[in-house]
Amino acid sequence: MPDAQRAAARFLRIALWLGAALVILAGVLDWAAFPGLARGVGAVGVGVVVAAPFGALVVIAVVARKSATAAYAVVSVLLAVVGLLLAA
Amino acid sequence: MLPLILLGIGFGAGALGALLGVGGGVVLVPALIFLADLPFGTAVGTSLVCVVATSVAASAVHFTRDGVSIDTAVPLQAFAVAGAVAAGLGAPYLPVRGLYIAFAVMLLYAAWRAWPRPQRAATTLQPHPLVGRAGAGAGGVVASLLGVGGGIVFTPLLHVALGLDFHRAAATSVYLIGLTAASGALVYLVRGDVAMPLVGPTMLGVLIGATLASAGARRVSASWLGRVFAVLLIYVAGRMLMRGLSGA
Repeated sequence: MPDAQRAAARFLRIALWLGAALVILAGVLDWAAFPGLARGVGAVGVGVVVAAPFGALVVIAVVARKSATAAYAVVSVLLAVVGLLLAA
Repeated sequence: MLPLILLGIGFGAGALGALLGVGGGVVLVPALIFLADLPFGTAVGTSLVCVVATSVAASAVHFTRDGVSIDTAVPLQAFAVAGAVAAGLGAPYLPVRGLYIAFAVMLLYAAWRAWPRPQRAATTLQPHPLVGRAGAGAGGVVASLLGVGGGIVFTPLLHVALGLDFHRAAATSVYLIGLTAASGALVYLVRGDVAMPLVGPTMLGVLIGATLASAGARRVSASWLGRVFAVLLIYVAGRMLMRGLSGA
């Protein structure tokens, strides 16, 4: 599935740079004495990176167009959401 | 000073993780406990977030080279995620001293695996599908309970049991690590068991280390690296074991 892998790579790279940029921005904001804003921006940056593997999973499922791949992707995302809800 | 130290530790953990097909948590968890003085649970949650960053950075490179065996990973990922979520939810109810000792044992196993030896030929047997799925679930449990990516389970599972060549097994393992660590990290994040101020510098170091190491992974001879890494792991295992036994 080289097309799916290339699409997933592009997606992960965008998520990575976006997350890293937000984390760096949070550091700058904290240094410039905006701690509240820094915490919010930092949390979004971390959230982008943590959610990226699931985004890649969905990208692979969509590009590969295989029903089994899509089914496993849906189950994996649902399990993570259930875990999130139980922890909350 | 601590942010600079964490940046350096993150760089080392990210590079080692990408080179050896592990998530880097075996370095991060002890570093966060002994250098940043975090409790075990918070160190695990913080490490998991950084392990996701290692996986994302390294997987982006491996995907570009068509290096990940998607067909092998897809049936395993749901079991790995299930293991990670279950362990993340159950972790607060387990004794911390036991977790320290379990981590020390896991470090000794990782040291044994990191020591260079002739690579085993991939198996030609066709294992029962349940072997792969049970192994993936176990990897998820280890990842979420101890704050490592689960690569010390996934890489041998994919290489020895499921027959992928070593580089492909390591790349596929790095991809699976991202999903398991992210599932566990979400649980720890919601529970507030992640030290957000420490995540930034550590994660940045991890991203730089993992990206550079993944780009040069096939040019680096990992034998000397494996020896140094194994000695470091044995030392850290001793410290973790002492803390677990003394209850300090």
